[in-house]
Amino acid sequence: MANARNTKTAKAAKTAKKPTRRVENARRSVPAVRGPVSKSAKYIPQEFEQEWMKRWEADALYKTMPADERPKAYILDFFPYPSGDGLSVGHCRNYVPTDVLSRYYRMNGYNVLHPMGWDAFGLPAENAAIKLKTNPAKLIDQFSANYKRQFRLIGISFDWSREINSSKPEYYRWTQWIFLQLYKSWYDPRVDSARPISELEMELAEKGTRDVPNTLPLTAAQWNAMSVRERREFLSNFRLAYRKAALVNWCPKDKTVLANEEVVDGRCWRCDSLVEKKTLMQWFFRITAYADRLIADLDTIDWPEHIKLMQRNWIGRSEGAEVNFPLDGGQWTVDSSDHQPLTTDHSITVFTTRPDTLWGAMFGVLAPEHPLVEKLTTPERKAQVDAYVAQAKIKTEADRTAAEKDKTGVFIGAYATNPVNGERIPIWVADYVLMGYGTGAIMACPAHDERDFAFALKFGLPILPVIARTDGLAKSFALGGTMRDGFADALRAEQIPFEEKQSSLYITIPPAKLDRYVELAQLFVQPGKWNEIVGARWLFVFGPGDVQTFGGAESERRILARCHELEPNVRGKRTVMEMLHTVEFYRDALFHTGYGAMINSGEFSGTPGDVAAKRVTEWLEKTGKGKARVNYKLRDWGISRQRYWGTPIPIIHTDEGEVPVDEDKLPVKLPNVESYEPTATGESPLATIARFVNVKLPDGTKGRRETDTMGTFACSSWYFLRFTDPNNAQAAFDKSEVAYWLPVDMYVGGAEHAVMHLLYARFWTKALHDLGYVPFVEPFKRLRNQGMILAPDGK
Amino acid sequence: MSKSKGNVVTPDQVVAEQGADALRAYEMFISDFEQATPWNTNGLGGTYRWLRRVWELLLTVSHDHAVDASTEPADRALRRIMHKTIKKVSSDIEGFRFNTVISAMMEFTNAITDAQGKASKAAFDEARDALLLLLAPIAPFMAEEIWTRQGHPYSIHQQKWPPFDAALAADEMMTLPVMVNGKVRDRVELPVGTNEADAKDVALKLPNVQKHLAGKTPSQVIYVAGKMVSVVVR
Repeated sequence: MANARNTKTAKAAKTAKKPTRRVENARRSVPAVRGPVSKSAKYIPQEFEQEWMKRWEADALYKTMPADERPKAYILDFFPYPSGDGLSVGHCRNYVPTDVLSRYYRMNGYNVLHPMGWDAFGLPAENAAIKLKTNPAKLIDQFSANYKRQFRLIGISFDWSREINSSKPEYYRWTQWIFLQLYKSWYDPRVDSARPISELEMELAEKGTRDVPNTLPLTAAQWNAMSVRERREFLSNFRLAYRKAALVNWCPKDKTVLANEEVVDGRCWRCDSLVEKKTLMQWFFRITAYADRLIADLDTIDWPEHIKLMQRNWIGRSEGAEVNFPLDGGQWTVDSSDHQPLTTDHSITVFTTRPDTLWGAMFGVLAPEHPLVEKLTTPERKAQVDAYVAQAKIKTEADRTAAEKDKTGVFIGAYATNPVNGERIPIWVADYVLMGYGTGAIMACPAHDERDFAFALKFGLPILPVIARTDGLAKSFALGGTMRDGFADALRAEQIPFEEKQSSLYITIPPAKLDRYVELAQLFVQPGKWNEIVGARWLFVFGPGDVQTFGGAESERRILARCHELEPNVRGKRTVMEMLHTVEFYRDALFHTGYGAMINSGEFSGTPGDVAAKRVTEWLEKTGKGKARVNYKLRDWGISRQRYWGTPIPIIHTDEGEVPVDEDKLPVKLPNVESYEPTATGESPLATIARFVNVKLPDGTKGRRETDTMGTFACSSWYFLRFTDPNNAQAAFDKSEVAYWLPVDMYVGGAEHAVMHLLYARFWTKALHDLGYVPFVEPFKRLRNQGMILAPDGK
Repeated sequence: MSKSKGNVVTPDQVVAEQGADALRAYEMFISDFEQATPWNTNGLGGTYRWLRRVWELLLTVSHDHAVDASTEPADRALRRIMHKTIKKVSSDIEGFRFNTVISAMMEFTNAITDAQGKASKAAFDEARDALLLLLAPIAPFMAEEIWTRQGHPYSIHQQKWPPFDAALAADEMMTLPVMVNGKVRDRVELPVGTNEADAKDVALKLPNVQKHLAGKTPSQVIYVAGKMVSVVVR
């Protein structure tokens, strides 16, 4: 490198026309020579631009020095996957501004780190290699060389001596090392920090899990009696990197696992087969342990608000309660002799963010994957339920939960008891409930949840309002012929506003006039007809002194019976709400999600909305019916890929469980293979290579190497640390270099990474902080997302 | 823009036609950094022509006017816009407002061009030197080429950013609204730093203010330094 530079400068010096002189420079001294001489006095950039780039590179003008006493500026672009298409002017939109910023800080006396590298592992390269029948490593070299040429073409001042490639063993050795640090750690909620797993083992041997909150009960004696294998399996409940059985997308024709991105409208992107869900052992990172810190620390960084909001929503923290609904065992032990009889202490546990609406829980819904579905379904319902569950498995989560989607579901024949009022409620299975959120089971409170409302309406399940409206909206629809003459005049006299259309009145009743309206309705209602008030109150006026309040199962039955009797048109309506819903004018008054005072809720009725959820939760805890719980939408980060082109997971499986590869035996190198095609068994192609798979451990026992590789988001979760010390062969990075350069002062890239890379990188940084490797908790101080450049045609 | 739509514009094409510096300047100029925007091939001609003007201004224009009494106002005005530009370009680069960096640079280019024959050689060259240094991060190739042709030692990319002087950037005059009973009735142009008594005095003598006072004595006159004069009359 040094030789090449000297030769070039010497050559340039010889050909220079002006006499050379030496110039002192703050950082280095170089012979002052004239640059390439243009032929023209006119501005013809092609005559000199690329000559200058060669000169700057020869002089290593943009080489970043190690940590020194100067202030530093670390300016970083999201490192790209170098695609075969090369850079477009759209891509340049972030590379040019960050380069301007870097050059600006250099001229202002900063030590500037502005590096570039390649996010080289992953499906795009692997698929391109399969298509072109070549090696992905070769493709990456070819594609990245083209990117590099283009970066030079537009004058980007990267320090190429720090170039990194995440698919090189010199890099992924350290990705594996960090995997092992996470594997060897657990999250201790008592100190809100990751700790070595060895410390947990010591505690278990002494005290069991007695002092560890929210975990599996285990005594020291039980721990000490466990075999090595049992202990290893137990510890995987704690490790920050762990393996568990999980649902994956499975293409039955190609016999392969598909990434979520490879499932298009529920079908395989390659062969268009319907994709199934299949359970396989998968590796995960326990990002959920950091959920609260990932939310709290967002307040400390200068990022676009919409990205912060997306992260908060993705993590989806909600406070609420877990409530046990005892199962109505008798119902089907009578019907089904081949089932194990359930005792009444069996229950369904649900999570709700609205314990104040418990009195309105009219039915329970299980996710199709919920283990109780199979256990509880009655024989006569089994065929229907099985068919429904099979169909639900092939739908995507987004499809299942879209609010506007038509609701589907099947009654499974079982019942549970609502613990707050003893009502017996039916249990359904429906795909709008997800196994991964809460407990995979919900109590449906249709009067105050949009999806439950739509579901109840469709299936004729009762809907009972249990929370008062906060806007006081009250409506009445007086169908032509139901009220005596003079009703409209009486309303006018009382200043109660209404619209009259085809002799029917559409009345919106002001809160202060509600009582007066009820009096008028009694006076004017025709015999054999009725008038109802909905929203702020739920009243059915059948005649003078004959006013029925809708406020529970009993009143619902009574009101429906009378209406059915009086009016043939409503005889098909199964519930009061279904009947009211046929009047379009009522629709905005039937359902709401506001936090009003509790109604129709026994002794809790009247509890103000701002304290209702809290009081009910306290009561649930006191009576043992439930307990307070914080729930998150965030799930642990699945990193297993059954593909070739990724970082091998440094674990060996033995008869006695998992064993991590010794750190000094890293890297576990990706072997050269003939074929990168996924195998027919759903395993990685690595599984077919005996010399890779079969290993002998130091103690002579035989093991089988883990053949899953890590998804590329692992590689990109720490590359910003590696840039500070990219050629270190002894460690992932030098701690003092990282302490000097990090956090990144300006990080620039696309908003599409808002909840993937940007969340994962924050999580790894926090874990590395807890384990003492980095002295900061947030990796990127400032973040900016460039807008997209559209083609001249606006697309 | 995507390959599948067949509408990709590559930097290779643009560099071959207008050069890398014009591409860089256009990438900055195209719109707010965070906003999606279509690529406009004609827009690129605008930044290219600006760079060509800068090239000519820095390499081919000669200017020999010595400092004297006649150049003093133009020199002061040129230095003022120079320091304002240094400040704006610095804070806009730091604040990721690259489109306004380019427009400020274009205005500065115009101001230098307009100062020909009015400002002294010293002030003119000072402004041109600043323009070149400010150009270095934006158009690094051209800045290096001009720097070398001007006979400076290599490399411009190891030079210091031009210093900002708040005093020289300060405006000399300020325009203040004058309100009578809460309505703007006139404006007054005053030297920056005018004291309260003088500002009130000048404001009260304005014809439109006099008209609205209609011969009455104001019950209150308030001067908000550098912002406005407010007169209350009953």
